[in-house]
Amino acid sequence: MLDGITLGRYIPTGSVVHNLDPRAKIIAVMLLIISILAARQPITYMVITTFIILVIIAAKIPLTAVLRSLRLLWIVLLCGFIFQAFFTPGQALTTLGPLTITREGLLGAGEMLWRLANLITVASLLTYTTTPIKLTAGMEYLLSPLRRFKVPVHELTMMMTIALRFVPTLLEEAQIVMKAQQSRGASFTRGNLWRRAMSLVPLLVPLFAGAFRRAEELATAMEARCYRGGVNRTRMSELVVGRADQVAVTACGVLLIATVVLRFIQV
Amino acid sequence: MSIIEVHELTFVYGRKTPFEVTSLQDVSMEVLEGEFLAVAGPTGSGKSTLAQHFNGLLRPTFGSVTVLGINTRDKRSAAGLWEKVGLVFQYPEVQLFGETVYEDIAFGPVNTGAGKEQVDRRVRQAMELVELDYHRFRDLSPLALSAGERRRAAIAGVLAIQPRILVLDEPTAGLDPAGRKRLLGQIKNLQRAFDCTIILVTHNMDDAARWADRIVLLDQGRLYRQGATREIFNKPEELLTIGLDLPFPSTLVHLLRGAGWSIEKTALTIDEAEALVLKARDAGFPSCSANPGHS
Repeated sequence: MLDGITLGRYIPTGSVVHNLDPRAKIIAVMLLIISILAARQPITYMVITTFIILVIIAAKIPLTAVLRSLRLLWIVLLCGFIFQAFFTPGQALTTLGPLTITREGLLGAGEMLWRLANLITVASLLTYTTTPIKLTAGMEYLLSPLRRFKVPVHELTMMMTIALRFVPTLLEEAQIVMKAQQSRGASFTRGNLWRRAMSLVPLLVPLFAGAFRRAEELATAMEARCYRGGVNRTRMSELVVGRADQVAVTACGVLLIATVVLRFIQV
Repeated sequence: MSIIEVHELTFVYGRKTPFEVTSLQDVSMEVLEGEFLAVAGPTGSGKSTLAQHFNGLLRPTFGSVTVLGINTRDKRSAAGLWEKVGLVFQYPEVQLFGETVYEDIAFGPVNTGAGKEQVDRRVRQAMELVELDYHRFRDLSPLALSAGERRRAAIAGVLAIQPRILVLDEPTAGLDPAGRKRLLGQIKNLQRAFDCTIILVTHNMDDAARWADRIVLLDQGRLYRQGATREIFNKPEELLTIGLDLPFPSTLVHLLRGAGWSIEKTALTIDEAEALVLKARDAGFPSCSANPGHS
């Protein structure tokens, strides 16, 4: 049931993209996201998608993994498509009972499908190619101006690091407990809604107990190493901006400018 | 008669993802009815993966597993296998969820659809088998027990299903030597009293030597050896090359043989080792006169 979840998991391949500075990658992804949202013409769609595919190839991420993460969200994509296609007023193409598919609806739906698919791909590319530690280090740096407004940036990113770190551990534990209870005849898919909800008790109780136990152990381990907050903390590996990072950000910046300019020039 | 037949089993985790790992490759083995079988091998040899094939939790990627005449690929008939093949996971105490020990142990029997009285009887019997006093423990929360008691309560939860085959994955991990001996003794009793078939997954060769009738050795996902316990320990070099230890008595005999003592057999227990050593000494080899301190 929980097997083979690749959504957002780090895939180490040691490519150029993996070695980019996390700050550069975060900024580049932001620029790409804005480009995707600002794009309006088929030509820009094509250019952006081609660019993303090139990045996937450069990152040496298998295309199947990317498609898999899209497949997990296909229901969301499909629902969006159907709603758009049916409920946009305009020139009618065909009617299905009381519902009408319009030309504008179909175009809008296709556009939205493209946007969502590209957004998901870009976001998962970031996590495929960046370890959680690097990702949060980059976030902390980029958010550090907020410290002036008394936002506890270090604490927030530390919480994020820990949460990300424990996702695979908890998933694995959930799988083991689930198998153990199945071996005692538990079924998580039988019966009505109430019985199904109740059947989760033998899974959730051990899982929560385990999470609390881990949290306690981690707190003890951190205290034993005299951990205390973000004041004057240094890093084991400092972030350095290199030539490749500049190129990556510039490329995404150019793409964004081109997209915006095209949006306003042509109609 | 064989009760489980594994034929050219290959199992791949996370197939068609970037995290694909082949955990078992071309493993063929069998389990005989009523025997105490040890599945041994170094860490990462695929022991636990194999164990989860015995009750249909995992299905072969290639090859087949037949348990009590049921091919585990057949989803519908394999769904009922949990009643016949009890599987005790590693660190089973993490799966305890009941408010009381009784409720937790009764979970399996209740799922079999047994009546209240029968559930009650099975819980009592299971607790007796693992030596947890019924009246003292039945209403306690599992969290109030000691680590060893929790382990035994969790195992009782599987025993209460009264399976014909019991698979235990490293049941003694983290227990002290006394607790280890006690638990495995209880399992041996179970085999004798109920004609259960026991499959013990372990990397502790002392346990394997002491309790098992037969041993299946895995190494890096492949079948390395299978045979009677004594046969396996008669060839110590084979064990040492895959990074497993010999049980202490076998090591002793092996070393003495290397030092020129004429001992033909291997020893599985300390008593056997003692008898062999005494016999070799009485036969006058090696000449004890070399060391006047010994008589």
